[in-house]
Amino acid sequence: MNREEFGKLYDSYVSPIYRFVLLRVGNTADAEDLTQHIFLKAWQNIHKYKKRKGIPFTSWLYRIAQNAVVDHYRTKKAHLDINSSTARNAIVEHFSSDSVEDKIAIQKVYRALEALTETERNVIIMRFVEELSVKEVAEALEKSQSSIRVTQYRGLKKLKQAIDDGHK
Amino acid sequence: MTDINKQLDKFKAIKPDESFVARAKADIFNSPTPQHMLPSLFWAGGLTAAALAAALLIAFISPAVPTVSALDAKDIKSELNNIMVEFQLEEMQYNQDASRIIANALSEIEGETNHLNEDLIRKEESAIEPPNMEPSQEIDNLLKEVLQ
Repeated sequence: MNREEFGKLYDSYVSPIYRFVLLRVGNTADAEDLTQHIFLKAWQNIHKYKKRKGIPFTSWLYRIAQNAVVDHYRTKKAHLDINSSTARNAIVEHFSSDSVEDKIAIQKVYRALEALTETERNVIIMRFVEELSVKEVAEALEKSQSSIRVTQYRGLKKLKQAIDDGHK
Repeated sequence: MTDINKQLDKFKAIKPDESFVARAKADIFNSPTPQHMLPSLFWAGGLTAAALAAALLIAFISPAVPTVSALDAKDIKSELNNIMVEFQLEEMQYNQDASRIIANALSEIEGETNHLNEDLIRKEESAIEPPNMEPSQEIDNLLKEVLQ
């Protein structure tokens, strides 16, 4: 009964969550493992969600995702190396039909994300790739909405600068 | 800023491998279901088993007849039935709660998509970029303090 309904949620969110995780870890295999882990955790803890009144389900799911990424780095002692060929290839392999110029442009933007802090990267990805509202991002990252706005402004400024520097 | 938006938009094309999506979904649903993991059920079962084991042990090592007679089969059966009823009630309650939560979450993704509205995003964008806001080291430092 619940499986079918949760299955609908899974179908709606699996791509956004996978995308968010892949952009954070830069490795397809890790992104797949973490995505599965995130949904398994959500499935097994869905009864706890009711206790968090006022938090949108999207934010709850992204909070699990963000914690999973943090745990991944903590336990594996890994770090995101956006400049590594593995990370670049992991992103670019998702754009097999694009032209070489487009792939280079995508790599440049991805590399520019390295100029951001972890929080700025989260906010920029959640706001402009995942299209979450400021409220949803604030709830997911457990910060105030004004703090998210400030982080977004600073992140965009730094990202623009990094992209411009990359073109020079 | 629109240029950055366009460039970030490209990442939206990232999608997981379809075979992974199907495999992961099956694996998730083949894992222990949430109702099998309810902590209260776990403790209820564990405590009952421990109590029965303790009663049997006492009856076995103690020569006192009254202790053995205290292990009335009817009482034990009735207690077990009560526990089973509690199990079922709790499971029903869990299923109802989970269904409601999932239904709410589904309506959230179907109904509350205001933030996908282009006009709203543009409006928010202008709100975070006040005019004449020149980069200032002093303001940056103050913001950093506030955020820490």
